[in-house]
Amino acid sequence: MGMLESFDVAVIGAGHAGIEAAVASAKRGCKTALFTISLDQIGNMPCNPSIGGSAKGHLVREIDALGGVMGKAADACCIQMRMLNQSKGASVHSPRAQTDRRAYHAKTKQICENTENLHIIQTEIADILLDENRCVTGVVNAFGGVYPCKAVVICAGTFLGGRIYIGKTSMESGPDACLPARFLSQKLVELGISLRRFKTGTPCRVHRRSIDYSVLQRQTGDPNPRAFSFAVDAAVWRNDIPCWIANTNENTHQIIRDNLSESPLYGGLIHGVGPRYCPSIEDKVVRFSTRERHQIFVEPTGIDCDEMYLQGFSTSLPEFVQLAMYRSVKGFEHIEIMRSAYAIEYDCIDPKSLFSTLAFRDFHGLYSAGQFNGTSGYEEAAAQGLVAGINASAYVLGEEELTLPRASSYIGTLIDDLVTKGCEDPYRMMTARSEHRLSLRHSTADARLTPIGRKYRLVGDSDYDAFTKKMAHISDAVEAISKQTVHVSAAVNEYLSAAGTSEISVGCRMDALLRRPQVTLSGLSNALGLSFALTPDEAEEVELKIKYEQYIERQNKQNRHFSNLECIRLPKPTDYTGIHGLSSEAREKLGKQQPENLAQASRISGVSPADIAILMTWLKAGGGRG
Amino acid sequence: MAETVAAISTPNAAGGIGMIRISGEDATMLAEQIFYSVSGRKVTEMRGYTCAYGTIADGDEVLDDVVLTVFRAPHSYTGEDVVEITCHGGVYLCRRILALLYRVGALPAGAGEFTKRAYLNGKISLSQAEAVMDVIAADGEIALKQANYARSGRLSQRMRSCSEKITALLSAFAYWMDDPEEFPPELQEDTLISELGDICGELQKMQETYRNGKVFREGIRAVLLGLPNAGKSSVMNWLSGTRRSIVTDIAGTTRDVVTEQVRFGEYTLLLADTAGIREASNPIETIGIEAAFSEVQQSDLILYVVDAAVGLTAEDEAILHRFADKKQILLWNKNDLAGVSEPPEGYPTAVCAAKTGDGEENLLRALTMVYPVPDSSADMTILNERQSALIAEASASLNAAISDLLGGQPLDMVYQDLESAANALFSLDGENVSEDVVNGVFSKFCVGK
Repeated sequence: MGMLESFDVAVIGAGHAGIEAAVASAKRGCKTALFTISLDQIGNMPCNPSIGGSAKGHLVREIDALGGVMGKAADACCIQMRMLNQSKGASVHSPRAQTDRRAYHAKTKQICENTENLHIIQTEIADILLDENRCVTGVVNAFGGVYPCKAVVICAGTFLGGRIYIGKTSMESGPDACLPARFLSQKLVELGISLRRFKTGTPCRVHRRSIDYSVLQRQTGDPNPRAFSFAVDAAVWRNDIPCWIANTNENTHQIIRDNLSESPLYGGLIHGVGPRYCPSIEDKVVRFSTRERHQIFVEPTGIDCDEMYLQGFSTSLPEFVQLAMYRSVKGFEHIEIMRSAYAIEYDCIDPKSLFSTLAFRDFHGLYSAGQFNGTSGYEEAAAQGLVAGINASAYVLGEEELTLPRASSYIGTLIDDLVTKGCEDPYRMMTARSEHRLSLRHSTADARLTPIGRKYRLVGDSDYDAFTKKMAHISDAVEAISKQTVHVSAAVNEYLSAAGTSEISVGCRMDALLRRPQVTLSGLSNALGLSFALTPDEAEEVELKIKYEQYIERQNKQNRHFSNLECIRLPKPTDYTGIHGLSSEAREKLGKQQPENLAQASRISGVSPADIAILMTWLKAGGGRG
Repeated sequence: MAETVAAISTPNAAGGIGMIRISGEDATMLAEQIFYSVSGRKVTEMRGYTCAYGTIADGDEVLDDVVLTVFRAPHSYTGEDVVEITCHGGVYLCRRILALLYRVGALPAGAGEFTKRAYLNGKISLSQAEAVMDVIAADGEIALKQANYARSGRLSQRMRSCSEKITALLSAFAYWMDDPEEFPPELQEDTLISELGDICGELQKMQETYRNGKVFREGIRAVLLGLPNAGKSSVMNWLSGTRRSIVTDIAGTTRDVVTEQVRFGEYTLLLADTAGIREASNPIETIGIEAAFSEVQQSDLILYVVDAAVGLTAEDEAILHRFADKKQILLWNKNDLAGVSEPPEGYPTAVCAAKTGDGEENLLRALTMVYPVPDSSADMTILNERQSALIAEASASLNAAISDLLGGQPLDMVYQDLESAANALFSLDGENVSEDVVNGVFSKFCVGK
């Protein structure tokens, strides 16, 4: 073994989690190494060429608000931007960008290269070194070279023990024909980390010229695209590239049914658990046999690249079946496959073995993030990477580590779900997973998280100044509006009836009128001859703040019980067998999962409110303090 | 820190005085919403160890004169802000005040809750820790047994079917948010509103069984109505065996609502005597009549007293018609006097003579007609006050969802209402809504974007 360069923090893997972890750690002042199997795959998008989407768009904006990379990089590589769920209420509006995949790789690589304290190294990490107290002391590459370090963040994605399947053929491989990581899994098991197999899949890429677009439905970007980033100068790169929608038909489904025995999944070759939210086309056809068609989205992978991604059409059927089934789709009759669809199986952990700081419970200085933790999606990975990077550097620097409460963010919800409930299939963020949905609007991410990003030194002076000014403008305007009385006037009633709501016959407060769904701030201000000197973003926030206030109060009232319990921490580790009065099921499950606070404990199935009350009493009696 | 809870702290039996205790940071705020002090002092502004005299009112209806005592944290039994309301005794009155407190936001206190809080806040000694835990554990076990029992009951199945319906709608919403290109048909506004209406109706039916069950658990809230001098006060005296109401021959002498608890065969009647119903000639009487009408609204049963010598007048029929949604029994009174008419058809009727005390068996027969004793207790004993409160909460949330939909509010707010409703129903079983919703999305919808 030969000694190589020393670091404070070593990040293993340079995908979406690894980039955030490494950049955050380096920006916070730790000398950081970012290890990747291939420099040409940094920030790769091995699945769809898009960032954001329902709940995922929220994550990207939260990452940006905390001072992360993904929002700005996605804006810089955006070729089409849409705000999803426009008709369903502001809390579920979610931005989604089509991105240029190669540009995204280049952009994120350059961000890493330009970050002070950050060293990118192409090599395969094969081992993690610990001292006798289970503190991380270094990592070893596949050639035996040792990089001493104080903390490690594992962001291995789908590389660990990666194996791809096409039909009944399988081979060791990482995603996108990369080399897999062949050695680290075995070492992790030796360190006492138990691994399991998950699988995921991706559809084929086809040549742009081989599709008949005249029979497909065209989908374009929003007329006024909004950027992910909160930076004052944030803007999307371009917004002029369309996507297309095609549909499967009965013929497609028949081809799939006829060839199910060729599927490694149905043939019993793959044992890894696949994502429920992103089933393969054979899953869809089998499970929803009465559906006449399934949508396929044709998404460009870049502007100077002719590969088109077929969203919703992932499969692990053999190549000849893929060709037949794709060609059965109207508009795809002459399709040319450039990369075949495949399924990939990989090693990952049960995230219940992590604290909500994303540190492993039984180690010091060992963190992990991303698909390795059992999630799926670039955004979920990046969100965890950022938190793991902040905490690995905090560990090295002797600072307080960051735990984001569920109420603060989708990121906090994501991590709490993972470490408390675990996941039985690759975990995807959904708005339905947050009980704080109404206050976690994407556009409030800065108000919620930028002060935290600032505290952890990830938000620069000019961004923070702009943020504090924006907050002041918003709160001043909200206050002014709450004090504003609207008198009955022809102008107001004319506006109200034009907006489709009832006129007023007595004076009322302006905020009360603004709560009517039909009334907008700009419309009402015009009718009243008022002007608040706000940017469009600020004006939107003011309006939403007032419209949602009462609903958020209701929401918070409902959640208060848990928010209170979240503040009561449990000592770690706790021996629950000796606590008088606990049910035996609670003893067993609490002992196994070692929740960090009472809210987490209460979410464990089998732990009753009576058990929680007993824990409260036990804590008060000094339990766990000696 | 913890929620504000309330409970009746005096024994669950008739007594001279009753006491309701509220503990938690919102204790004074909640009390203020139902208490009207004579001096005009606000409960939230009262200092610790001070009292105020005033009334507890439910809207316009005055329930009782009470003394309210405020204790400020940490100088109270529980170590939190505590308000104690001392009212006139009687289970019924205490429960109504407690129900009012639930309505304004207090939560039911679990067994040993005040002691537990006292303990947690360091008000009682550490050596009592295990005793407290035993109390809680026992309560948990009882709750568990009840829940298990409830699970097998018909009512709980109906409740579960409601929460499953709501969860299915939530899953449809969640699916639609995650897959904006596909619109689940169950979210069409008309379909959605009618489905929500159906669920609300179902919940109301369950509330109905609660009320029926309550009849046997807590008694029938009966109100004596009738034209002036029909003999209501005599009936009251006859039934209660006391002379609580002032009986004279001058029409209009009963002005206050008097409540009396009377055991009658299988039934417990909570009797309110009211002022005679007629146009009042002086202001004091007007108040009495208003109180009477509001008492009628709150009651389960109207005992309508008719002077058999006068017979059923058009005015009587108008009043009976006005309260046609209440259960009614005609008391065909004063049949000891000469020249009485026959009672009319169409009403459950008890012929009686209050002054001589005749007709008890007639009333019991009429009561059995109106409230048949159930064959099996399965359908009525399941709902307790907490369950009923949660069902009421779920109904209220569903109604809010409907009015949001009609008012054009965005769907995420409607979703919030639905989630509140589901949470209320689910918390009966201690299950987790969001997990069920997410599972519902994957099992019922073909996702894949």
